[in-house]
Amino acid sequence: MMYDLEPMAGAGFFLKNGKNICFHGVSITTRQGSSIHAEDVEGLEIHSFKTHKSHKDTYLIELANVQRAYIGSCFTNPKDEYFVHVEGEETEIISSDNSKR
Amino acid sequence: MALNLSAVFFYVKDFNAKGDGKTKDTSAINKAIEVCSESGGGTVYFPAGTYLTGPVNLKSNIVLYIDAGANILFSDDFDDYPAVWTRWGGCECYAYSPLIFAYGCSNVTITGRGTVDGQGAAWWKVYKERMGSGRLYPVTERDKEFAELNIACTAHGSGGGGWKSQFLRPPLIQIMKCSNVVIEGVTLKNSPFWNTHLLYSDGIVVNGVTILNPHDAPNGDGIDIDSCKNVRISDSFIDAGDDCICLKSGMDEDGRRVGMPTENIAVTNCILNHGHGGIVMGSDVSGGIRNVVVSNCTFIDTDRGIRIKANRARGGVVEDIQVSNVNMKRVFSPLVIHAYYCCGESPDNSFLFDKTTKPVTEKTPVFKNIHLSGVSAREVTASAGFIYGIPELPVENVTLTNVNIEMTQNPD
Repeated sequence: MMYDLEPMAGAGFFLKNGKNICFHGVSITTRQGSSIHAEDVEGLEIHSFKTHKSHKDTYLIELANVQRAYIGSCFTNPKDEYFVHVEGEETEIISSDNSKR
Repeated sequence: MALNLSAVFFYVKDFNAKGDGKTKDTSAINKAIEVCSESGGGTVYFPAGTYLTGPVNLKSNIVLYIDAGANILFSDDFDDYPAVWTRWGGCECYAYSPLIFAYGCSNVTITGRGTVDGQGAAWWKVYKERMGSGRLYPVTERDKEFAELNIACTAHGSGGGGWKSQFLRPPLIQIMKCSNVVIEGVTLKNSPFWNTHLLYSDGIVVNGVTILNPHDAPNGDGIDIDSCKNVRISDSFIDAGDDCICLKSGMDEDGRRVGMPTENIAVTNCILNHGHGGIVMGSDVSGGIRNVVVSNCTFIDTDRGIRIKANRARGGVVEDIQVSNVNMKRVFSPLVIHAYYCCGESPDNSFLFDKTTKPVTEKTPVFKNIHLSGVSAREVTASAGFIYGIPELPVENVTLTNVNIEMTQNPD
């Protein structure tokens, strides 16, 4: 059984088994955890993403087995050391023009 | 030329309705409707007063005008409501007659500034007692009557236990197999089950209504659009016990057999409060849902904002959904798309909930072309969003554009 909310109280956007998913000009501020977690996705575009609050030792974006991911023009906080975490043999990522503010 | 008002207005009191809140006016109201329709149509008029009644059956070419100060108060004697053929919880069957029932009508309007009160508390009480005691089997003579009528429909898991008990509560209003229907201005409250159920109909306008079901009203949806097309909902306030507005199209095999999608739906300028979801699609989507636009709405304290749900038993295609200019506050999650919806299903059903790839069949749910823009969700309590597809047919083509989601920092 997979309930839709209970496992992730206060956390970000959870995405699994998706195809051609686009976040454009999206801002997500979590209470804990990463802002976007994507898993087993084919075609993911994250463009002009930002958050108002990051968390210590936590990646903003987590990708696992994501094919054809594009991450571009995103804003991160200057003190953020953890931006994108990638895992899974199938993950292919293009990252460009992501700046710290 | 002078207008002969008596020829177009049919005053329920002229048909011996008392409007005293004590005498049952069922016969008088239905007679007024019948005479009005048989004379070519017109307005059945309720002046101020409280009209206690059993089921009201609408006819074609009728305006039901419930004036300010008029309250249609439905009897809470279950025996006033005969069994009628309908769709309940996504499957065709017999159930208690809707309180206001339009079947096979055209050119029908329910309007005015008055109130329709379903006195749902008596129904909710029985339902809660059944659920609390675990007596999910036919208990009363009426339950047994329905069990005999619905011999083929007792095995469904959904419907909040209704199928097992055969306590198939009625909606406040059901518009079934109708065309050109308007519901406007009125307050609709305390429905025994769903509030306003639009079923197998074409061309419905719901405008400026207020729907009030308490937060603990079981299955107390606001408006259910069920295998209908060309429906417009606007400028309305809905405070619901379950989903505020829910789009459906039949459950599993029965839904696929009927095969009527819900399509061409517009919801705009509405305020949606409480309940389990603002705009919900499913879980009975077996006939498909397509071409839906939602705009300029506010969701407050709705558990989920936009929710699309089904599982590997449902089938059906949910596609071409546009949501724009929506503000949400204190929702659990602004967007949930879930292909492993489990309510009413046995946790032992490994096929439904298995995470490995299965063959694509007519039972495979399809979610695609879902677009949100200009959405702001603040004080979100549980999750910024949740999309969980099935591996054999992932959720496809979803865009979020100019969306701001802020989780509450003070969950307590």
